[in-house]
Amino acid sequence: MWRFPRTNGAECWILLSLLLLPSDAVAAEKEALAAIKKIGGTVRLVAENRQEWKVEFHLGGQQLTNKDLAHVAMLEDVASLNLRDTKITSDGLVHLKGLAKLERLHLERTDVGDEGIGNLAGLVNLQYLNLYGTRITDKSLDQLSGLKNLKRLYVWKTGVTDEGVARIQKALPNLKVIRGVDLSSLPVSEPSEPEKPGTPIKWIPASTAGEAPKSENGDNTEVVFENKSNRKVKIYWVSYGNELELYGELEPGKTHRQNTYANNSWLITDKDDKPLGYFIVGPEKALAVIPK
Amino acid sequence: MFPLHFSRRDVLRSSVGLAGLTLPTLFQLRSQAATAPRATSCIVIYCWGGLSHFESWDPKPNAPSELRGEFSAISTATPGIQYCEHIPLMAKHSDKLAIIRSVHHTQGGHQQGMYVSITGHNPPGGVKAKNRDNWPSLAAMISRFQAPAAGTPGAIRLPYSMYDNGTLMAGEYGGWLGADYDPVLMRTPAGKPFGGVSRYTSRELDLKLNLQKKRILQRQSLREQLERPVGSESDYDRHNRFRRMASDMLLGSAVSKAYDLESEDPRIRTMYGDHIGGQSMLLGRRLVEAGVPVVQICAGAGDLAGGGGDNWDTHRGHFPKMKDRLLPVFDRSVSALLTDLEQRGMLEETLVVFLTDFGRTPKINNNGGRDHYPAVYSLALAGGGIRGGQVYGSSDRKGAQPATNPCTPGDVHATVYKAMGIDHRTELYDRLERPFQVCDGEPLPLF
Repeated sequence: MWRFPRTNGAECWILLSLLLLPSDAVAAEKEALAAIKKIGGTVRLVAENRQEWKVEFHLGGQQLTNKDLAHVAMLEDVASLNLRDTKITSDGLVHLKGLAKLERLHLERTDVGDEGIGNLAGLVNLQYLNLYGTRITDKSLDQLSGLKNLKRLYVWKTGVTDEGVARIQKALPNLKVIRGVDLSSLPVSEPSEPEKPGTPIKWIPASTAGEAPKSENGDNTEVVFENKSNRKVKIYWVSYGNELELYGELEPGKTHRQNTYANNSWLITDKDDKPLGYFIVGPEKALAVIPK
Repeated sequence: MFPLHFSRRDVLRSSVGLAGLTLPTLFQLRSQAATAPRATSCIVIYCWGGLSHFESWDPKPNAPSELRGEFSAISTATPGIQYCEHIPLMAKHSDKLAIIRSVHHTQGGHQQGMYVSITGHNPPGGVKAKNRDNWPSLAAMISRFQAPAAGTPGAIRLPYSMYDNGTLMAGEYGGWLGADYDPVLMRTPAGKPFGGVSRYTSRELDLKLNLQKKRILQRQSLREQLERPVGSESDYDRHNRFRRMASDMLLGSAVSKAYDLESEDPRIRTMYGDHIGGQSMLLGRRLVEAGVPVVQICAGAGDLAGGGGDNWDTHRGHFPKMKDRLLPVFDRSVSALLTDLEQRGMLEETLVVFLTDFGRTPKINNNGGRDHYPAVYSLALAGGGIRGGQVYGSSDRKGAQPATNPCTPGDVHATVYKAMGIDHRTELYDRLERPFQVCDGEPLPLF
């Protein structure tokens, strides 16, 4: 159920002032707002108690190019600008030079490199600068080392090195440089963790299937069957309804890892279904050795 | 006299209001508290079954052994804060986490505990899933205020619905906000599953979320079928929802791109762990990155099934299950998520909130388990303007009662709303036009 919210006099004045107060400056900014919206960008206030804009292109406006940034430059009070994943390059950054109120700037995953970063050197109010996934190197960090208010600088997946970080950190002691994980230190595939052997469970010889009790319910666990006999065996699960379900055959010397629940009953037969014995799985991961 | 301060800026503000934001949203913004909210998205990590506070964020190394349990405490990156020894990776992220050790409520059953935890309101009695009189979940409520990017749904749930012994649980839906605010359930396309039972009976999933281009035409014909006139209002609600999903998720490139985990750097995938728990966290990050305002992730098997399987309802064999099956996946996936959000510069604007039904009993039972315990337990928040490296409130020596700063799930919800810039006192109206305040709790001082 949608309702028109309570309004106060101020809102009415805003609506009224729309009609009463257009000026050239306002017209120019309104035009810029419309252009930004057309590209797919969004403009809103940074916060209710603030008068500055938050301008974003990273979700709907990724087609933004360098020349479109001129529209952003038309807005005087931009405090937050997100250009992630857009088509801008270093050349476009010249448009940001005049955005003196900029506090947060997202340039991550754009084709920006050292040659453009100098344009940001005068943005003294910058607190947050995201350059992850760009072409920048230590040279960029050196150009940013005069930004006294910078608190967080993101440089994952760039050409930045320990030396460059140390230099900017020395110039700006309150800055946190977020370098991210060293991808070269991460394995590409899952490391094969050495499997801990399960707790050995008791082999109970049996000559008829009826000797193996039906399974009872319990927690999920795992059993590893190891065939130490010299013949192929078959593995049957004795169901909760006391029926046999074939889960597989196991060659001599081989092992088979099986998901199971505690208190489940597993019957082992030879290849002709003659019962040899059974196991009852306990609460822990189990090792079930089929003896010689 | 004409008020001079409504000059150029106000003209533009209102023009933004007319062009971008709707006027109600603009006015809503105006009514908010003065602090600038940071978070624009939220990831809710739900530990289904009841995460033990002892074996996570509130270890009691000095308690007698029948309470302390088998595990030790370890120090974290924050001096003076200890976690359980089996979340060592998370301990390195303590500087990002605000731990709340004094949450309490009075609901000892899973359905009721989950309901109050995920909606912030006590259940009215026998609650039934998808009853439109239920309170909306935290995720649904956030999506009511936070507009999604074009082509993405307002809220997504991963990777299962919550069940208890085959019964679908109430609480994780849109409730009286209506079907449009039911968070959309998505399967995680990869990862070793949690042991135990996870059901997929939701009609939504019958769409299978197969996002390959070649199937889109088929889907369009499905849309056409769904657009045929239908009878009752509830049918209409449901079909309207499917139609929206079909267009949002199958045709919307933002979500389909996010869903394609194969396109992620394999090393980053590995960092999250080759488990559905980890891959769901990864998918959660990708969805938020694509502009989905809120993603809820069920961290554990979907059906409690009497405590069998990999969920947090550890009545039996608590310690081996926590150590071998639950905590390793949780520790790795959560740590990877925090690392990844941080290195992408997303953590400041992404609030991560951990919820669970309740804690576990201080006394270890005869089956080596811990039972349900709502009298005190721990939750955590990270990112989104929350100050990390802090503990709010405390439990007593035995982990049995709040010792300082007791707080409720409602207070935690109010904290989330504050971080998201949502006025938790906003009045909304249900389908019978009854007014409800978004949240009865009060924000905790975690910022």
